[in-house]
Amino acid sequence: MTLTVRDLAIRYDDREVVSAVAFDVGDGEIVAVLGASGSGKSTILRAIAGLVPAQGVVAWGGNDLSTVAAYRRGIGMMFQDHALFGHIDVVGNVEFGLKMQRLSRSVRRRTARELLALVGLVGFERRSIASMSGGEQQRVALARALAPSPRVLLLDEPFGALDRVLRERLVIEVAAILRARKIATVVVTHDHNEAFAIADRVVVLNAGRVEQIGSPASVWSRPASLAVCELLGFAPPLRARAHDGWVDLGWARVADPGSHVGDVDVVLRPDAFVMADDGPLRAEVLTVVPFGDRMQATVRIVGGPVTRAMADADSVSQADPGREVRGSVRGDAVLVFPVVT
Amino acid sequence: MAVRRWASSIPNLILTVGLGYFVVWPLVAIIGRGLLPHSHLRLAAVTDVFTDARVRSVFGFTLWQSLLSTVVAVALGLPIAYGLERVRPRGAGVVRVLLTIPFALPTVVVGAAFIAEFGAGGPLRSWQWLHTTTIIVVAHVYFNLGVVVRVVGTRWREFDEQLIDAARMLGANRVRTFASVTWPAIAGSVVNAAAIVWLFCLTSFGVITTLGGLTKTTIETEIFRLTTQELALDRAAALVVVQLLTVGIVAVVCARFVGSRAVAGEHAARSLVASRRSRRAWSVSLWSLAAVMVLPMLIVVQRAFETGGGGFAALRDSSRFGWRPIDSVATSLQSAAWATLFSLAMGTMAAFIVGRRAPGWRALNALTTLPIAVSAVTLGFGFLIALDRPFDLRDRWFLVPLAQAFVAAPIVLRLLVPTMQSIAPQLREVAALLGASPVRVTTSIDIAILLPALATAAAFAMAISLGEFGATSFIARQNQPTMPLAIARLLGRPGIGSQHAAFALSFVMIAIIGALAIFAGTVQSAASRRRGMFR
Repeated sequence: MTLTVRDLAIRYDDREVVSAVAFDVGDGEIVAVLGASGSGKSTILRAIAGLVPAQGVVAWGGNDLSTVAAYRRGIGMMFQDHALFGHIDVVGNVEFGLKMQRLSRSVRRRTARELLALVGLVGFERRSIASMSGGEQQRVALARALAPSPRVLLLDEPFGALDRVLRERLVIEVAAILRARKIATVVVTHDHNEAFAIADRVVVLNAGRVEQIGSPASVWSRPASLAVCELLGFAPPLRARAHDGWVDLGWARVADPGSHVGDVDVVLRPDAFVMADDGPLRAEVLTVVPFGDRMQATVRIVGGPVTRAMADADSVSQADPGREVRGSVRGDAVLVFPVVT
Repeated sequence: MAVRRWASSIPNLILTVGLGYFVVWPLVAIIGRGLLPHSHLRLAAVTDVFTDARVRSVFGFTLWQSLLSTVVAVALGLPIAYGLERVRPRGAGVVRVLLTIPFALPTVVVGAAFIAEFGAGGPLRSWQWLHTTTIIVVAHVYFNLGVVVRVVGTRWREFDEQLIDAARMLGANRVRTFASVTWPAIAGSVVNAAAIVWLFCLTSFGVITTLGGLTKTTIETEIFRLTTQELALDRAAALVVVQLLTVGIVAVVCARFVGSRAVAGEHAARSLVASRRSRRAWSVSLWSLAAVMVLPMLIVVQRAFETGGGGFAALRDSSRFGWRPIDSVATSLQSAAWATLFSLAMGTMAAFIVGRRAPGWRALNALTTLPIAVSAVTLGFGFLIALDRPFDLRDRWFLVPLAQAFVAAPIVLRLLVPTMQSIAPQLREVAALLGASPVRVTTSIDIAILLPALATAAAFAMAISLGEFGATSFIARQNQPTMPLAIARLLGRPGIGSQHAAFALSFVMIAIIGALAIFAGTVQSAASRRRGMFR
């Protein structure tokens, strides 16, 4: 079955914060809603949950949920700060939803034990929430959300409060658990790395509207707009002129498959500049991060912008900061957008 | 280190001796007198009190009215706290302040205001509430609504609304969400608020004196009656013991409840997403409530100016009452000024010990709180029966200010300690490393930072001392009543003329207390602005 969102619109005090949002989430599919803070992504999640009033359609398997109260939708949710109940212990938190379903004590205990095992918290049943680390609390929150076997799971910046190392590990674990259980999942995040790591598809949101929907690979390689580029952390756009299927950057000329005419904004994808000793461009190395037999560098192209660069360590001679290297720009990694006036 | 210990033990010694002689010793004397009426132990003296049908009914009424007042105040306060802190309609801040104003007003002034509203010549006289349980409960609720809203509201404001969303997403309906998530989070504060209100109503004196008439009497007013009219000090003392036991039991029971409640959620809370219509409905109800709260004050002021200001003329007229009511203003101000000085001295010394957790701080904290815990009437009665040994102090000028200071000092202490503890120890260390001696550290860091808090505390101490009624009733000289005593006396006299004089005097008190409140507000906002600069 599929979660369907159509023409979703949400107003706060006469201001439309979400407009015409539409996407689907298939069974067992993980969809990430990626957007900057204030883009309305959490609001969309709360509308799907039924926690805020909204216009449009939220349906599960073709049945409209608009008139169904939040607590009857059978949707699970994980909150930004976990929202664990501090006045009850770990097992009490996990059992909460089962209790609401009026399941017997033995069933509750069995399910809770299963889920705590799933998230790796066996033996933590009687612990107080306050005594647990951020990562452990996160797992309790996941177990609690999964316990009532929701058909849809909503995750609101679930990893936001955790430090980076822990976050990277948990993203992998959580994705594996969700895939194994085949739950339709919507993850809201502002971090593109997190979105790409966990999601089958990404819905990119800007100012309450859907900017692009696609697989992580397609969104990354073909961002639909400057706003998407910015969300992905690409370098700021360069103003240039396009004519006759070419874009003139001043320091280089690249083919323009879009055949724009006039002023355009050009974004260099992080993989656009390729270091090669026989390349036509010269660039100054600013920083170097080794990465096995490759390296990731930041360079300033002579006469041009600062950009990232990737190279095999042995293909480029001695790329140390301050040195000059040569390279070229990959045409397919140069993104051209018409200037919107 | 040795210097430090000495530095805190000298004020500790002064305070302990002072509180010991003026608070503990009178208490011991009362208990002694109640239990050993003729120098031999008779526990029966306390139970004997109950053989008197009048005392039994007084005791019953005290419990009844205090419980009823508490239940009503909490039942009314919870939705208001919810509206102010969760729905947060426009103007919630102003309403919150308006709700807490009554708590700062002297009980006698509120009594006068209620008489102005419900008594003879008042706009609501046809309700015939005067001298009924209803008006006593209403007055108690009027006083304590702000307490419930503050205590519960503070907790409710911190409550993370996400927890409610979480419960709803796990399948809990509104009722179960409240029962399983919201209530556990606020229950402690509700019990806490109920305890404060209950203790206040149990020991309420000014309200009962002014509004209860001859029939509605409580343990406190009965102690006063036995002491001043029947001169039955032994029975009064026995009744104080009964009162102490009741208050003690209530306090212990409530403390157990508060202690056993865990606290949930510590994240910054969002305000509730309420529809515009319900927000407007909340706004209208809260503002109407605020209007009802302010109304008695407006009426008493309006009635003070009735009959061409006749009330004010009567204040200067000594032929009418045998004393000039206007003189009570000077008496009160003088006494309150001394009381403010005393309580600031006591409170500051105590704050240095309690705030720094110096040795013995717990005992001192408890000892300082004792006077308000045992009720002002007990304090005044204790002064009366105990302070004739080793010297007879009962006729000395400083006795009234001192009693008022003991009532105000716990508040001063509680206002100073948080500021005291907010001073980062690094500041003291930096000052010391920059060459400041321990004395200079205290003056240039602690006192300097404490100054705004001290000003606020002074305003509070002054307001409390001015309005103090229970203790002062016992020890003020007959011919030199303070303003609250003068108001109560005027209200107790038959005739609408003396009532107008009481309203006029109430107006003066409201004006003075209002000025103090504005002063405290200005100091606080200036201080918080300055603090903001360093953030």
